[in-house]
Amino acid sequence: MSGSAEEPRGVPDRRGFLIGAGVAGAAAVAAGTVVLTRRPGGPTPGSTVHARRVRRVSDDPDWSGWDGVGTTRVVLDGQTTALPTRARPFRSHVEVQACYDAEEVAFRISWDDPHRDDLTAAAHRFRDACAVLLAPDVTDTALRLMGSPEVQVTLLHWKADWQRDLDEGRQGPADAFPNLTADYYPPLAAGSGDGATLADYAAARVTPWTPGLHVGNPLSEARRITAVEKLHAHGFGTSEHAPTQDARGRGRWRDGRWQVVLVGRRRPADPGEFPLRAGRDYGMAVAVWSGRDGDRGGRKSPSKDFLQLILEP
Amino acid sequence: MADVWNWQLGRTMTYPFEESRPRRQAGAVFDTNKCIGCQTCTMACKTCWTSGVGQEYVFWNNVETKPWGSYPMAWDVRVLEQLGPQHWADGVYRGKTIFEAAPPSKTQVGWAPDPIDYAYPNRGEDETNRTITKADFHLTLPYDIWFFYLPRVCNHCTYPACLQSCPRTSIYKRPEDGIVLVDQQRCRGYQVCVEACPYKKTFFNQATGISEKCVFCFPAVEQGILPRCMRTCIGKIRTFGYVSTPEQAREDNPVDFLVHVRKVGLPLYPQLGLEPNVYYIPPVHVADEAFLTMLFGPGAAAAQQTYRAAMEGGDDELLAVLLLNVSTDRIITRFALQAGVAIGWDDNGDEVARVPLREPVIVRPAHDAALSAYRYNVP
Repeated sequence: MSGSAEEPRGVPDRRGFLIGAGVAGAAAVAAGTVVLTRRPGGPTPGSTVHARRVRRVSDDPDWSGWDGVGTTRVVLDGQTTALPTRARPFRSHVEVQACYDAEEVAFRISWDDPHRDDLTAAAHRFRDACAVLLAPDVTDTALRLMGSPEVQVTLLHWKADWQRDLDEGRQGPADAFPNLTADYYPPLAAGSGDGATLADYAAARVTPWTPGLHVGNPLSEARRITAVEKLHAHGFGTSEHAPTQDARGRGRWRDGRWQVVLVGRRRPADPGEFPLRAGRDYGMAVAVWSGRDGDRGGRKSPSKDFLQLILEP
Repeated sequence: MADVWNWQLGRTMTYPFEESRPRRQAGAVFDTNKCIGCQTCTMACKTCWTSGVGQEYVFWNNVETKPWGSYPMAWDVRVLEQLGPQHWADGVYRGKTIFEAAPPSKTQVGWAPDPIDYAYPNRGEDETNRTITKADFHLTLPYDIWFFYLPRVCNHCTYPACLQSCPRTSIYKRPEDGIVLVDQQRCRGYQVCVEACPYKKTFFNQATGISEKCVFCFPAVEQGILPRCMRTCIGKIRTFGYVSTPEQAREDNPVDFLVHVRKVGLPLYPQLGLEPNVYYIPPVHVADEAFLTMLFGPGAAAAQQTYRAAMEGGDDELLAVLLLNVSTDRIITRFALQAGVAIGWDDNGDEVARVPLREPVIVRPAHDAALSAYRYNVP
């Protein structure tokens, strides 16, 4: 049987990129701020994210420093390349900001969502989420859709339910079903019933009763240490939990709007990663998931264009 | 989509992957006539595999009462209604499978249960529902007052809907025995498999956040031992072993004998197109042929007749296979009937069961002179 690693990749529209390169270059000259020369095949206008250098980045969505960082309005698209698909995007656009310091690069993604979906401890309940894809080469537009077999991309994936776990304690069935009751869960001690958690199994060293925890699946960890997971991918269906988990971040839902900060390290930590150097540009994409709409995995709203991320010198 | 051969449909059908059959296929036959709905199998599985936090609602094995019972709620009719007409002609299925009925944006039709759909595992249990017609207002229901028990586990299908649906290829079918498993490291809890499996035998673990399913007790099967649900069956309704394709069927293989030789073991909802590998002997007391054909395909009526004939003494070989059910913990892969005794051998060629077809009748005098006591018959 064949696998989903063979799924087709997106086809770049070279004509659109060339037009975009010319317009953006002219605008930059007019503004007198040319720091980088666009290469042929680069992103289209309005799809550049400028990361501003700051003394120290923050993972606080309400950090005042974000006021001094430019905002890029990133247009979203559906995802119809690989199953499960989403014909139309959840929102027309998201707002993206970026900054960096000596060690880390931070992104703030903001979008409207009337529903806060962060409780997933029940069947068919899915999370709100957002992600940043970072690629070493902005001209290789095929990387927009989860990288390619030849080129690994790095993903920073923030999950609303992981954020809730951090803020309110690791969620479990008792959160989704407040009236749930149980005498006990063997082989935990008698009286362990109500409110038993994965941490109880870990403490009692009886994790075979919780298979995902036993085999070390990151989705199943007993205690969250971050709301942002770092992943590597080589195409659709290939994303893998990165060996070194050095990403962090925080999300906040307020008045029907998510504001999420994702922070990644600039220095590579794992094989296939690449450094994020000042004065250089990189390929970038963003995506958001709406849990209420059943979004998960490939069913998402990715940025329509392959974005250019510039770390301003 | 590839064209694959589905012998249960009598035709090729479309499936997202090429045909790739395991070296041998683990399978079972459940005799619905002997199931007493005691749920011992359910609890044997539950206490062994799914007693952890997050698995409260999970039943890899359940027993439901047909026609009214279903777990999760209406699991079967909710997918059947998406198929359209399901006609059989000369043993060939003329309708659409779940793969052939799929819209362009999917590879199969399906539906996703909500938590409330899992809330009533015993819904419809022992329900007879005699239609009330003498009151001023009454319902006319499609079935008369009969029911039977339908024990269900994962069918470890030849063409699993769960496997083909997983965007991460986290589900795989073992080449050595055809058992279908979810890779617990690779799964990311998208639950596409839960939506895709028409039998609803993949489940989301509410604590670990990933999906799980029946493993056919592979650690036992690898040692030639029956799965727990089979081993503990009070009614001894379950034959477990390896099922062949029709052209490779062996007459001395108990599962092949029931499925291919006597044709009393029938697949559950074959029209779905998954070529399920758990088979059922239909209940002989149910006269609703349309209902049984819907559940077990066009061979239901003939299977009833064959089974009845065996019970009336006309088919000792069939009786022999059924008597070997759960007569040992070992998996019987070969059987024979010799001088009125059913004998079973395991994969190693060791004799593991010997069951007489007819127990000897011993008549004792009512008065035991040695003990100076009267014997009483205790029914």
